[in-house]
Amino acid sequence: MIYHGSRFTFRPDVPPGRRTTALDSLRDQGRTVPSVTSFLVGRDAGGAYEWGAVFVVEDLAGYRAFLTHPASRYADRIVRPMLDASISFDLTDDPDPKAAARIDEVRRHVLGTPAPSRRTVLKAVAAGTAAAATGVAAPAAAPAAAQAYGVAPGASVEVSMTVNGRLRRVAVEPRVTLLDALRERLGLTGTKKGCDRGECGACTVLADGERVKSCLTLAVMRQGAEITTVEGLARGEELHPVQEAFIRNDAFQCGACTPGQIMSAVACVDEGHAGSEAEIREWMSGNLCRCAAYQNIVAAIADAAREVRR
Amino acid sequence: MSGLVGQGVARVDGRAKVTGTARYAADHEVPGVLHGALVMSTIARGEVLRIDGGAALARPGVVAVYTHADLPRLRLPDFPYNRRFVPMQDTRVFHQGQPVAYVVAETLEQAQEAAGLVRVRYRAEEPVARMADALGEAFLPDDFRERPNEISRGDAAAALEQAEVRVDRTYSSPMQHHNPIEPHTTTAVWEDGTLTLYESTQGVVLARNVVEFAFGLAPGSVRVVSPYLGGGFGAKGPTYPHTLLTAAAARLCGRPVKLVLSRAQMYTSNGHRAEYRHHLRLGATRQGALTAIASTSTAQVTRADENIYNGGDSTLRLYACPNVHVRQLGVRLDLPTSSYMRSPETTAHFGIETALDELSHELGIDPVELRMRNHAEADQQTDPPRPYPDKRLLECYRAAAEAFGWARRDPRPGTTRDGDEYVGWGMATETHTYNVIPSQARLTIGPDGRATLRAATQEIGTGTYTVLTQVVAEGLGLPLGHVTTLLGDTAYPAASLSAGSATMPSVAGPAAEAARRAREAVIALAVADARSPLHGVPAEEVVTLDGRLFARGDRDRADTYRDVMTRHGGPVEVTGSRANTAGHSFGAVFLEVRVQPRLGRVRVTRVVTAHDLGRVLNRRTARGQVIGGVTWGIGFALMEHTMVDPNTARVVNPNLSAYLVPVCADVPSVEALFVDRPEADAELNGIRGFGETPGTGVPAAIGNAIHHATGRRLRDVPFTRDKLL
Amino acid sequence: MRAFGYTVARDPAEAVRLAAHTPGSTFVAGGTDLLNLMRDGAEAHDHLIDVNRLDLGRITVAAGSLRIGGAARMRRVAEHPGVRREFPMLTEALLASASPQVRVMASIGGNLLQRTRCGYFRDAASPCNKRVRGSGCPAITGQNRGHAILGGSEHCVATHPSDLAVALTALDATVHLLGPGGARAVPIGGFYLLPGSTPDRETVMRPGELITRVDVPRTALAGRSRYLKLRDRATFEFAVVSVAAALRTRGGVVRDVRLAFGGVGTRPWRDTRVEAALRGRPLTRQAIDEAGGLLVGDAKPYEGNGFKVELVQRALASVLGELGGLR
Repeated sequence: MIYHGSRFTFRPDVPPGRRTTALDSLRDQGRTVPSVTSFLVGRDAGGAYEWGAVFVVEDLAGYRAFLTHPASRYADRIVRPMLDASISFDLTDDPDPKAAARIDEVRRHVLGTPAPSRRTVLKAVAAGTAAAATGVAAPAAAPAAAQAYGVAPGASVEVSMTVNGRLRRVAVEPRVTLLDALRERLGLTGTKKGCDRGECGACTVLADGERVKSCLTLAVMRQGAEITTVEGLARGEELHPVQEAFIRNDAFQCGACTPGQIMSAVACVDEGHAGSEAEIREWMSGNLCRCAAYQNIVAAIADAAREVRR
Repeated sequence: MSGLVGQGVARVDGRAKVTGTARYAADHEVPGVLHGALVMSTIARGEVLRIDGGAALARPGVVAVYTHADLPRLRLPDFPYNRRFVPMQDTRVFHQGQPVAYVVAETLEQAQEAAGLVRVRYRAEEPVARMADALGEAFLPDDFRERPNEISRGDAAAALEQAEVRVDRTYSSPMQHHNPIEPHTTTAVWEDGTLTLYESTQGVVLARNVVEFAFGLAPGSVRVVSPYLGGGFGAKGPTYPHTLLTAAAARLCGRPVKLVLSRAQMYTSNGHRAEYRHHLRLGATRQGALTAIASTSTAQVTRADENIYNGGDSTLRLYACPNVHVRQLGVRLDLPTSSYMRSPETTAHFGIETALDELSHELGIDPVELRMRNHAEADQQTDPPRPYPDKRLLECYRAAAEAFGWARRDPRPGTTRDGDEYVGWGMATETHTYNVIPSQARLTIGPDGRATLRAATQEIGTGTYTVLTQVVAEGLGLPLGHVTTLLGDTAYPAASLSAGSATMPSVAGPAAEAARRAREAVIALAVADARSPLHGVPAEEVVTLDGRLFARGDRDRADTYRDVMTRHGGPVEVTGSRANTAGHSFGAVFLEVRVQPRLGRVRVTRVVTAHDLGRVLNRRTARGQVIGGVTWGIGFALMEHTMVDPNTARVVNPNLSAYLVPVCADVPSVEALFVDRPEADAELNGIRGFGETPGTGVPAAIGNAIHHATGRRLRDVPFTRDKLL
Repeated sequence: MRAFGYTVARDPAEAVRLAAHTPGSTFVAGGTDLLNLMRDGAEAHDHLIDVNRLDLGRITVAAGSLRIGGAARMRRVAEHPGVRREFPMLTEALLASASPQVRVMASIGGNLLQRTRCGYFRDAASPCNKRVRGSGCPAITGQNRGHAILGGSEHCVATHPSDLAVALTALDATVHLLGPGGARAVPIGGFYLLPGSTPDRETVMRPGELITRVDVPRTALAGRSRYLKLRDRATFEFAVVSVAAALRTRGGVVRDVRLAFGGVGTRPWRDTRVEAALRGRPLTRQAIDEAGGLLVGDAKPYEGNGFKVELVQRALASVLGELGGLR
């Protein structure tokens, strides 16, 4: 059996409704993931944290399935930003001395934290082991929202991201941009490189639901992120309303800026910045179009915004 | 006839573009490809003394650092290769940003880093960077592509002297860059002595010819592929050194090499709109009839070449004037060679349309009226003047003026206010030459009854795929979805460069001709086939529609393309090549600006255009050209300016944050009218090119509107705040 | 870009420790300026220390001040209801900056530390005293339309491009730093340095220091504020000239005023003489013009940017006129 546990405290400014949402997402994680045989989400009695959660899985395969399940990713995304402090650990009753290392390897592989420097590995393991051994939480003073890891210059790192709904892994040097990771390593050439300096917007993708210029961020900085590119918008044959609106309104000519315009437009509508033509113009001005299909782009976004509201 | 041509059919490549599946030059995956990176000269004039690639070669993944010492001797190609030298053949440096070394590495990041590690030593000479510093050495260049730089008719000097009223002004525009969103990309793949280039080009055929010539290869050894282009605007029309250098590097290292230019490199690697000064003198009667036009322009050329690309065609032809003298001078600066940049004639046209407005103000004649009085019914450069067939410019003026509400205009400058803004209205004629390049299009109808058109012309965003598909579908009588158009590959029949507004006038005719002949061939098969319900029907009585063929008098006697072709058992293939002649398209633009002089702010708030382009082939794509052209005109007038350091001749703003192109919020909605001939010309004879006409009048119209708003006359673009305070 | 290493720091103390022990390291938050500086060769680093997980992203309205974490994103700050309500010039300055995408990515600290847009600085092949001390300043005799008319020296006339910094300067913000020597607070007026003969030194930050927080005093004055940004195109452009102004009047007399200027100085420009000239006086066109004259009294224009002398005075008049209800 593997017991995956965490203890955590919410930030004081998180209102009760959102705490409930967070706790429910953890409970859903327990209920939904098939490999979880039992779980508990409850108050951390007498501990230095407010809450705790423990999930029990049978074996290593089940553990891997647990970590990669969408419900686990979802819960992690919901809960993590709300926390003031947290600690997580894995216990096993497997007598094999190599079991712990195997669990650690799976965890690193799935969560994308490979080859940490020796010093930080020792630190992380030490904290985990201490907690595991004593069942007593480490001092709450140190918020530890993520694993620390270090990469030497010239070395490559395995970066895991969920791209268009699929878990993808690339081994890249830190200097590789998200854009080049998508285009050159993952074969997703739908996102275009226009200027490679954040001045044209052709490289716009969604990262964790927000629009970003992928040439202005590094792949390593997006470890664990959810990335959506233009290739991920359509559902099979069915185009996204923004894509449909672009075709309907002839919102492109050469098409080089189009994927970036579309991703930016999806976010623009989502942000609520597509209320009027003037507002769309202002909020889409980070995407240049040299063929200058601007007028039609604005019409397409207004069109799509109406669709979405319906 | 299905009436497809002329309709605003949605672009057939739309789905590919909105899903990211359209493959542009940089998107082609080539196994084993290496990445190239250029080392560019940091001096503008002089020579390379030493290149040290040691530090670069020591980096992991770096395969080679090539210099002039390594490169094969390449022959210097002619037009459209856009330099009078091939870089990296010797040590000479002609401009800043000229390739001096070529790095090849396993990954993009390795190549980029290594390029920065190559050490180059130069012997530098002091460059001349500023036109103002070299005006004294302006000279008259030789003919360029059989076009002289000095042309006259009548006696402009004498007519000017005798004119009742004169305008004598100088106008200017700075260096500008195309800045298509897609950077130049070349991927070179050699295999058994043949070369395939995945190239971002507006002309696969011309690129192939240039490369074959440069490398001394047998014709047909090179294949150039460019199915989608992320914007050209002239930047990708000519072939440039980086294409040749990439092919050379790939051959040298024995593996495919891919090069993508950086945005900064695009400021010195693909031509630009040359800085242009225009001294213009007009002479006219008090009634506004032009009696003389004398134009002396000065454009930037280089030490190595003297081609002038921004021509003064409208000066010569647009208005009826018996005495015209045009002189195009050059000034040699240590800058890269310039080139065509969307609507090259805009530079001179800006002067003409502003000068006319100045004249109209001087004479108290409405600007539209003044232009109508000088309307040219015939091409005065031919002898005798050849009447324009069906020129509808007058109608354009009327239609646009009416839609704009021009009649409500109070002609007095500075009298229309709205809050703290001064409102001004201005107009100008729009015109541009379109070219025709002999082209072929091959149409194949397969056993399934569907058609495929192949032509080695390009889709650069103007809608080539769509319009040709419409033309063929209508010509055959097939549904749009049963026609596929394939472009951008030298494996297809040679066809037009997609520049100079040439694509449609060059290729639509051949496509229409091929469709007509293929249709006839299929009908002939049907009526001759005893198994066909149309057996024995006179060919001229057969109607084709939506994939069906039926007898005109009896709709029940019907067959389908699919059945005819299935029975036939083989394809029908026809190549069309109908010729066409170059000419001009026309239009008028009316626009409103609002000026806030306290802070020097100008914004264009309303635009109405009307264009005469002969027959509109697709209303959507035509409208796209209008809104594109108007936006370019706004950029030209208000913000575009490549800044060069006067001491070193280096470009100081080689990016998209300090070089300003219009953003979404700069451009108002444009009302685009077309004065076209909807009555079908089934053969699509005399199709006109149109892409560069819209926008040519916009800079002058903006200047004219600013004058109307404020009484201040601006003659030097861009009209930035400092000029409006 | 050169190859560099990368470490994610888990808490501020660790970040500072890592920086102190890792030669050639620098902090990265959004990276939206840093990556370009490294691409252009204007900066070179061997190691990036990611500071996005230090829990420095919060925006809190505390009793006396607005507290913005150094890693707070521009977008979040601009949209924060407390900021919109009490510090409209901050929201305006932020929304006038960059593009929506960059505002999602970029941090407050990074925005304050962004470097000049001067084309010579960002061109590794060009001489530039800021990049390489003593190599010269080509802007002075070259292209200088975007450069400073105030605060320059014969060594450097580059402007600071941050709109936020200008607004924070007007609002008397305090920058909180954490470094190997501990934590300290620097008033923003003393945070940016004039170029003098050392244009490479732009702020008072010491090696290995991190911006943890920016505090902005809550005042009634801040609530009556505007940020006016003048550009050459409609939007998505660095300022040609900008003004951050906060103004309170009673009966047409200026009770208090705060002014800072962008696009004209080698750092966010605040001249308290200009404020003093207005304080306690009736707000009239004449008073504003005189104050403007004080502002540009020491201005040193160059061939390309002389128009800024006039434009900044007019921008000042425009924004004060608007805030003061003058017609």
